[in-house]
Amino acid sequence: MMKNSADPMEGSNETTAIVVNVQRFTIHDGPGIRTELFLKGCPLRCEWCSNPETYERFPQIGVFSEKCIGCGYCLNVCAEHGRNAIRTDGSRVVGIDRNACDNCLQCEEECMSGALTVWGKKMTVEAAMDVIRRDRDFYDRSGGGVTLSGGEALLQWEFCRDLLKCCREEGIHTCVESALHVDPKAIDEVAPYTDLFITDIKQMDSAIHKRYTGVGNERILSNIKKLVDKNMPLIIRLPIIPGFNDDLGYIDQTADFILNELGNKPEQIQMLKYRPLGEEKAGTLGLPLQMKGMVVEDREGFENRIRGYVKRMNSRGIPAIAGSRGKKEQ
Amino acid sequence: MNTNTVAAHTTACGVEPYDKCFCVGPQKHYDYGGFSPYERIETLRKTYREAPMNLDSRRLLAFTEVYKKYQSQPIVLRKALALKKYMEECQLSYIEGELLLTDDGTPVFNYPLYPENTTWIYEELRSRPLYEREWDPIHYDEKMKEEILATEDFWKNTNIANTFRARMLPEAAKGCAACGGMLVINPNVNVEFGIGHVTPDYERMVKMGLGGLKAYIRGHKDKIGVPTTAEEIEALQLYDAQLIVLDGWSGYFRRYAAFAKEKISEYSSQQTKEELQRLSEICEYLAEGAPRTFWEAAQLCFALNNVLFMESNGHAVSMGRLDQILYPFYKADLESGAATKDFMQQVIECYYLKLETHGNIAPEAGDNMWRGGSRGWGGSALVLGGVDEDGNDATNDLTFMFLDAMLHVRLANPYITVRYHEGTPYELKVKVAEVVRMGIGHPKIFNDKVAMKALERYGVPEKEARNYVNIGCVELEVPGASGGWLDCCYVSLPKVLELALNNGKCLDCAGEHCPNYKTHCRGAGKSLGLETGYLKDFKTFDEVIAAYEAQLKYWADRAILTVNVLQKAHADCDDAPIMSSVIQGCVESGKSWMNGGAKYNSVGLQCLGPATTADSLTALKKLVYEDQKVTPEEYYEALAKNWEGHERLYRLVNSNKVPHYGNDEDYADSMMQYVFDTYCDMLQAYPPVRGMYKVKTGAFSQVINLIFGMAVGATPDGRKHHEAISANIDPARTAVSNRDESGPTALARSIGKLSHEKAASGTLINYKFGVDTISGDKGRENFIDFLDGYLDGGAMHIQFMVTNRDTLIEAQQKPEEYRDLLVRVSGFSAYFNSLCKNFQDELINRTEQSFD
Repeated sequence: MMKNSADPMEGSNETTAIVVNVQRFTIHDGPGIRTELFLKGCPLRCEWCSNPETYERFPQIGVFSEKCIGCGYCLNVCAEHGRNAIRTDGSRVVGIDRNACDNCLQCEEECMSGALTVWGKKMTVEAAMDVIRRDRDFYDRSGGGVTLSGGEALLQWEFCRDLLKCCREEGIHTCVESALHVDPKAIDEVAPYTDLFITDIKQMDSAIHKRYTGVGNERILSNIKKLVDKNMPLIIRLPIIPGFNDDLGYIDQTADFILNELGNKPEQIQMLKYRPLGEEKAGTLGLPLQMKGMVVEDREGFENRIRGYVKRMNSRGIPAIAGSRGKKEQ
Repeated sequence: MNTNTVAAHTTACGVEPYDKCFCVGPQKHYDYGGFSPYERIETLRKTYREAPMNLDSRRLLAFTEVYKKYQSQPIVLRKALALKKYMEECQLSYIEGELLLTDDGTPVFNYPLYPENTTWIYEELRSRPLYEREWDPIHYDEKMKEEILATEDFWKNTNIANTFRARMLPEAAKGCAACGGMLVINPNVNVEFGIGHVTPDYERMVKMGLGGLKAYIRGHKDKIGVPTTAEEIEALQLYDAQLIVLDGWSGYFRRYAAFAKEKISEYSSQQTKEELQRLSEICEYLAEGAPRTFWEAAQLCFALNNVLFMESNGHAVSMGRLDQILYPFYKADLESGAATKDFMQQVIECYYLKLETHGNIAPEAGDNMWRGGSRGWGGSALVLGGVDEDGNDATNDLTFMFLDAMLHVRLANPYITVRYHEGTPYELKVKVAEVVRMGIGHPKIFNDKVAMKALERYGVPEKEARNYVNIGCVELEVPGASGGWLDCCYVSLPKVLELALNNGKCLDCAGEHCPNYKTHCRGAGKSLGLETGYLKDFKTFDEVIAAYEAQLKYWADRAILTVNVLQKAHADCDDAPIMSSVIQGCVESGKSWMNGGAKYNSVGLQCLGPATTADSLTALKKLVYEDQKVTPEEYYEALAKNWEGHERLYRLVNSNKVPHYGNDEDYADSMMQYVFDTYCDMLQAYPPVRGMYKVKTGAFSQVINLIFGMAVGATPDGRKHHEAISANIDPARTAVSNRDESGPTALARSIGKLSHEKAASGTLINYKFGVDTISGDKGRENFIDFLDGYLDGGAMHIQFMVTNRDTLIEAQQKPEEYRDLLVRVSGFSAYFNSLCKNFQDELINRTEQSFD
C-alpha cells in the first residue's frame, strides 16, 4: 500500500531510530508471543514510569555501581576527552555528572565489567527486521507479532511507519503501544500499517494529569477519539496509581468518556496495578526516585479495589478486565 | 493458539474436554492433605518415603553358593541357577493397600548385593558402617556383616569392575577416573553397575505370558536338536539357562500366590482381604498364563521389572510405552465393566510407588553427591503419547492417567516423557502444560520428527522408528529390541581443550607432585595428553583448531578403547538370561543380550561441556585472532594464573561484548555447531565396538558436569578452575555471568541450529521458568505456543524446571518444610533436599527464562 508522500525516506529500510531494547518473547503488549521494541524519548514524565531510561531521545550512559571492578579505564578516557564527568567513591564508579557529560559513550567501550552501560542505540529498520524475523515461528503459532513501545514510540514515527509497513508486507501482526501525546500527523502516518493500538488514560482531570506527568491530557484524549473515529482496534489501559487516580471519580469519569465520547468502541479496558519497576533503572541515570511514597502497603486491599473498579465498569457494559493477561483475544 | 494449525484435532477416547481435567486432575493438595485423591496411595507413599533402608545379603549368599558349586559351567548357566535359587529364597513382602506384588525384599528399601559387578561394598563395610552414612543410612547387623565379608575372597578377582581395571591399558587408564586416572574420559555407571539402559519387550511379555515365553524358547531349542557348531552350543546354553530362570520366575509367582493367601487372615479390613485374595489368584495365574485384564497385565509388567532388577542392577531399565502396551487391557476392562477408571488409576499410582521402593546401592561418595540416588531403580523412563507404527496419533486415556498419576505420587521415578508430533491433540498439550507448571519437573518432551530421524541414521526402518522410546535421560532406542549400553562413557571436551592449549598437560600440572603423574602420566610420555603445543605459540586460529582436533582424536581413541575393554569385561564375567528372553533378536539368534543378540546394538558416548568449549573457542577467535585485542601470550598467562592479575580480560570474556552460545548470535552458535558436529562425526567414524555395537553420540551430563569441572583448569570463556563446566547442551555459566540473556526464543533458536539428528544418544536442554511466567490461562496458552514453536525449530528435547528462585533458597534453608519439593535436575527429577549443596546452588543459579 503506497501513498504519495513528500518524505523521500518513506518506506526505506534504512530509516533509523534510537532503540533502548529489542525484547524477544514478550506476552503482555498485544496478542500471542511478540517481539517488542522500546524506542527512546518521551514527552511525559510520569512519576510512576517503569522505563525512565527512555525519557531522553539520545543514548545515555547508565551506571551499575555494584558491578564496577575499579580498573579506572573509564576515568582515563573521560579525562582525555576533557570532561571528567565520572564520579567515584574512591574505588568504584558511582555516577555521572550529567552536566559535564556530553554522551560521547567512550567510557562504556572501555568498561569490561558491565558497570557502565549504554541506554539506547541507533538501529535501522532492516536491523530491527533481522531480529523480528527470527521468531516468526512463534508468532505464527501464537497469533503474535511485533509491538512498538517506549518511551513514546510515535516520537520517531518515521521509523515506526517504515518498520510496521515492512511487517505488514511480511504478514506479521503489528501493534503500537503509545501514550498518544503526539502530533496527530504521526498517527495518520502509522495507523495504516497498525493492527492494534494500546494506549492509556491516566487521569481525566487535566490539571492533575499535568501535575503528575508534566503534560495535560487534552491532546491524548483527542488522539484517542481520532483512533476510534478511524475504527482502529484499540485497547485502553487504566494504570491504577495510589494517590493519583485510585478513586471512584476517576473510574466513573473515564467510564463516561468511554461510553459518551468513544461509543464504547475500544476492544478492551485493562486495569493495571502500579508496580515499582522503574526504580533501579532510574538509579542508573541518577534520576530522583519520584515514586517514593507510592509503596502499596495493603496489596490485597489494593487488588480487591481494582477488581471492584472492573465490576463497576462491567456493570455499565464496558469490557474491562484486571491485568493484561486475561483470556487471549480471539 | 491458532487451532487451524493443529491438523488432526483428535480427541482421545473417553477424554473429557481439556479445560475440565480428566479424572481428578492436578491439585496442590486434597482436602485430607495429600497429593493423591486416593488416601491409600498417599498412605503408601508416606510409608515408603519414611521406611528405613536395609542391607539384604540373600542374593549375595545365593550367588556365592551357586557360583562356587558350578564354577566350571558357562557364565549364563551359573547366573540362571543362582537367580533361580535367589527367587526361591528371597524374602517376600506386602504392605496393606498395595495393589501389586513381587518384591525381593521386605518391607521396602532393601538393598540386595551384586557381587558379580563390584566389590566396593567390602571395603566400605570394613572402613565405615553404612548405617553411619550422612544421607540414607543403610541398616544391617553384625551377623550379616560377617556373612558378607566372608564372601570377599571368592568375588574379589572375578567381578566386572576389577576385571575391567585389570585389563585397561595404561594409555587409556591415565585419563579415566574409574581407573584412578584424570577425569578426561570416564565410563559412567557401567563400571560399578550392570548394563541396563534398555526397554524390555513388554508387548511380547503380555502377549505370551510366562508360559508362552517358555514355549517359544523351547521351540527354538528343539530346532537345534544336537548342536554341531560353536554357535549352536552357545545358543543351547542360553536356552537352557533361560528355561531354568523362567521356571524360577514361575516358582516366584507361586510363592507370592501362597504368601498372599496366608496374609489374608492378618488383616481385618474386608477390602484388604478381597484384594489379597485377588492378588493371590493373579500371581497363581501369571505363573504360566498370559494376562487377561489390566490388573494382570500391570502386575506382569511390574514383575518383569522386578526380576530384571534381581538379575542385574543396571540403571535405566525403562518402562517404554506402557500407555500403548496396556491400552487394550484398559479398554476391554472398561467395556466389560471388569474394572473402573478409578481403580486402574490406583493400580498405576501403585506401580509408580513400587518403582521407587527398590534400592540400588551406591558407594558413599556417590550417595553423598547425589543423595538419595540409591532410592528407586534409577532412570526408568516412561514414554507417553507419540504416534503408532503407521504414523497416527497414539494418545489415549492412559496417556492422561499416567500423567495425572505422577502429580499424585510426586516421585523421581519413573522419568516421564511425552512424545510430540504434528498431530498431538491439544488436550494433551494442555495436560502437559498443567503438569509442567506444577513444578515437579515432569514430563520431558521429545520431538518425534527429530528423534525418528536420529534412529533412521542407524538403519532403523520407519515403522520401528515410529515406536521409538528414550531410556534413562534422553538416549534413544527401539523398545524391546536394543542392546543397552547407551550411557557408557563421557568425554570432557573442556579438559580436551585445556590439554590442547597446554601441550598435553593440565594447566596446574604439578609434575612429580601430582599423584596421577607417577602412576599414569609418566608412564605414557610425561604428559597426560598429546603434545599439541601451547596457546602462547599459536599464530593463527587454525593452529588452535588443529591442536584441539588432534587432542580430541587422541582421547576419542582412548574412549573407544575403554568401552571395548569394559564391554568385554561384562561379557566375560556376567550374563543376562532373563533380559535375553525379552529383547527381540536374542532368542531368535541364540545369542545373549550381552553378546550382541539384540536386533539393534549400539553404545552411547556423551560429550560434556560443549558450550564451555565453544564459548572458549569463540573468545579466542574473536579477541586474539580477529580483533587482536589480546596476545596469545597474555591469554595463556591469564589461564595459567587462573585469571589472577587479568581482571579486565576476565570480565571482558564474561561480558556481552563477546558473543556467547544461547543468544541466537550466529558467530557464537556456529562455534557450538562446530564443537558438536566435530565430536559426533569423529566418534561415529569408529567401527562398531566388539564388531557389533555401533557408536552413537549424545550430549547430556546429569549432574557430573560439576564433578568433571573440578578437574578442568581455567578455560578461555572466563571460567575459573574447578568451576562446573557447562551442562548438557545448556549455555555456559560462570561465577560472574549467565550466558543466555536473550530470552527463551533466542535460546530455542540457538539450540535449533544444532544437528540433533546426529545425536541418537540424545541431547538434553533445561529451561527454567518462574512460576508467574506461565500462570493463568494466557500463561498456559503461551507455554503451549512456545513449546510448539520450539519444536518447529528442530530441537530434539526440552524439559522444564518451574520454580521460583526464592522458593529454592527457602527450601535450602528450611529443608524440613520442603520435604516434597520435587525439582527437575537433568534427565530426571529429584527431591530438592536430596541434592548436595553444590548442586542445589547450581539449580538456584540457572537462568530463569521469562516471557516478559
